[in-house]
Amino acid sequence: MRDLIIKYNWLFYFTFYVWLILILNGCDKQVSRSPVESEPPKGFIYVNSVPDGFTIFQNGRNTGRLTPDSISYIDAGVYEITLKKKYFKDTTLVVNLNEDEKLTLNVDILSNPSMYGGVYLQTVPTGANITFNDSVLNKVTPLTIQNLLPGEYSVKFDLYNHRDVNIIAIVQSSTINNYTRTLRDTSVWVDYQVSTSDIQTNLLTAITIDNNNIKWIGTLENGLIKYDEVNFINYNLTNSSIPSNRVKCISIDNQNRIWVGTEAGIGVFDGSGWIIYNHSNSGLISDFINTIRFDNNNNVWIGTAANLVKFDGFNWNVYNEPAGKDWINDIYIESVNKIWLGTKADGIRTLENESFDSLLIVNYGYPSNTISSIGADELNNIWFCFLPDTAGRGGVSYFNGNTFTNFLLGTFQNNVNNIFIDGQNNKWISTTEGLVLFDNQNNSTVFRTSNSLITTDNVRAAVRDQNGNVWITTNGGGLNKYKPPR
Amino acid sequence: MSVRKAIGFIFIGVFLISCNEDFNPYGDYVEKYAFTCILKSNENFQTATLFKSYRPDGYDPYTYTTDPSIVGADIRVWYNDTVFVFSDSSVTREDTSRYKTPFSFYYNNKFFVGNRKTIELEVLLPNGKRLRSNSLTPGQITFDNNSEVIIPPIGKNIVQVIWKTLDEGTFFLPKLAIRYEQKINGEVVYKEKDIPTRYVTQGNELTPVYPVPNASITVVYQMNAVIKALQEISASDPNKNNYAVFQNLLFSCIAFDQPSSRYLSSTGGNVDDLTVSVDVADYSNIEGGFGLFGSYSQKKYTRLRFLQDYIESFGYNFIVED
Repeated sequence: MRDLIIKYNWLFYFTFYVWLILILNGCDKQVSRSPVESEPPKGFIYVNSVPDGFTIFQNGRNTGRLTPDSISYIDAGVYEITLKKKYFKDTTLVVNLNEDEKLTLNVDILSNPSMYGGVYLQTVPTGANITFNDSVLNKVTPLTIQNLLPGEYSVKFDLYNHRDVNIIAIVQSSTINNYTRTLRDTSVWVDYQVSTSDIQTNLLTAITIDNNNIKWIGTLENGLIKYDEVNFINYNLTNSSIPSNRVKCISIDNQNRIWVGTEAGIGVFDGSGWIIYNHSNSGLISDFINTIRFDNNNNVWIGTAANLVKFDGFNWNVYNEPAGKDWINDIYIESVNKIWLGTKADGIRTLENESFDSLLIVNYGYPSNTISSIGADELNNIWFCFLPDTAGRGGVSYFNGNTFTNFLLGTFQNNVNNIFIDGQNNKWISTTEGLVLFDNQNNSTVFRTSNSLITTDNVRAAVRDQNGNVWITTNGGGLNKYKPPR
Repeated sequence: MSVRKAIGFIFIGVFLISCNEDFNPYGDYVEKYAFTCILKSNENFQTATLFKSYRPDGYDPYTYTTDPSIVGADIRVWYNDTVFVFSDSSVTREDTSRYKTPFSFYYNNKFFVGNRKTIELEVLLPNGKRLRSNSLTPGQITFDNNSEVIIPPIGKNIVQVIWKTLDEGTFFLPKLAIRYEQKINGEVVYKEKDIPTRYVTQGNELTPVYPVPNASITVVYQMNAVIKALQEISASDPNKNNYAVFQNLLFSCIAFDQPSSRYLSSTGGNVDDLTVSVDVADYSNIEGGFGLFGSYSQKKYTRLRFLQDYIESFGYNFIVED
């Protein structure tokens, strides 16, 4: 063998070098490679807190995560973890996370005394009972409650003859928040406004009370409201067949049905369904209904923007005479044979035995030619309310069969809107400058915001219920209840 | 065996052994991710899609039929100091010729974007990898007073709307539509009819040309396009009285933010391209992957209205608006 190697020495070396060259060069390839992507970091920080629900901030940035949660797949390093929650002080921890470490942070917020806060509860007048988060405390105002966990707490103050007040008291860490509330006296006046009750609007027009002591309230643009002293139920165009949301007048017939006069006809509501009367299905010429009255023969007398109409249940009788004096604002039925008409700009008229007559302002000297409302007292005096017009000013008068006695209420511009005469011969007169009471002797008292708790001076109508309370509709101040002294 | 034969065998053996290797056209496979999200100003339903790359067995990518969408990712958008987390969902896929599974997407229905606000994105993939991006929502558009107010315009055969913005390089997409009502079997149905900027003749047919996203701050509609659109409302219906056209037209202009505008610029303005594929490298602003994170805002121009006589000349009713 050795001889053979020696004999072919050149061949051995030749073969060796060929192998070497081929190995070094023969398989050399140009290979394109994508950069090697590093594996994502595997560090985790699990953050837990008592109570939970704190927002986790990582190095000052909101992670959008709430405890308990984890910040996952993060690099090794120092992290500032802050826990934030509304009304709580921030809690910040600095942690050093090693590579691929899974770190758990348990933060006991409750163990930090500075996290707690308190509230100071006070009422005017003092002595109100306190209900705190639906728990009766058997304590009265003023009261300081401390060591509360931050958050929102429902608080109710109740005091006899005062309106309950419900508030949300906010407790913040290391703070005593002051909640002082004035309780409205309801011993004499009670208001029902959108802000203080479930009533649907503060813009009210007419009001009447049915045989069941239920109040029926007209609104300027929200239809009819039924109030049984518990709930306000609204009947409007979207949930009923009422012809319009603009209610002008309300009357109750002897079947306890509600006749609602609107700007688009009459709706008669029996508690479940509606009968609608308008120019297209009845004798009404105008759908603008100002007043509805009933006589002892069950005739319905309707004052509209166009004329006087009588409806006997079957037939419609339209009174067109005299032309041009036909806007009827109110009707008073003195007897079957004689009714009084209050017109717009044409003074006081009568219809007696189917014949019209006028009581001219020049002859009787009453305040103006526009009558808004008519009533009669127990002495059979007929009372008229007047609105200011070109002929004169607003006011109220009564007619004793021969002469008018005028009461010029408030300013020249005062609109005297309505009169209601109760069983004690008190006259409740609604004006834009307050509610005026004329007692049996016609001594007057004016209730305004400046001297009473009535919500506004702009009074539209008033009625007295079976319990002696006076219910007052206002334009802007909702419904008011007045409890006269007994 | 002669020496020469021995040498020959050695060479052949060396060649056969040393360089015998299959040729492979692929490089090393590295999974990549494509994310798309265009936040909107005119609705609060924001959507995003997330896909991964794939390698088919052969050379035809359509042989790969496994849905490449990624579910279970954690997608967060920072906007106005608030973090909005996207949830994953899916809808039935209309075209199931390739992928059989439902189409997966992410959504958040609690926010819409305003003008010139910073938006930030972070996507944490189920494997721990992160995609990041940020942008600035587009600025406010204001319409120029020289824009048209009435149709038909007086003494012109075009309807032009001009707008302004303080942003540079913004792409816009205008849209003009007729609002009308049609009585169908006694019921009134509200409809809208888009108006093209012009019609072009292709063969024997007129083809409408609608605006595409571009950087122009004005759009011009030929009146004959408006006329033809009005005629097409009723088409061959002889009873024109069944149609009522609203006085006010609907003109809106979408302004895209910088990343979206750049993307649209790179794709020639085709708005349908907003679904970015992993193999499309036209433009990307996604750190750690491919795709697009951007936003657009929409502004309406409400002064453009029809004249009553003009609408009635088509036999339509006219609906007056305040």
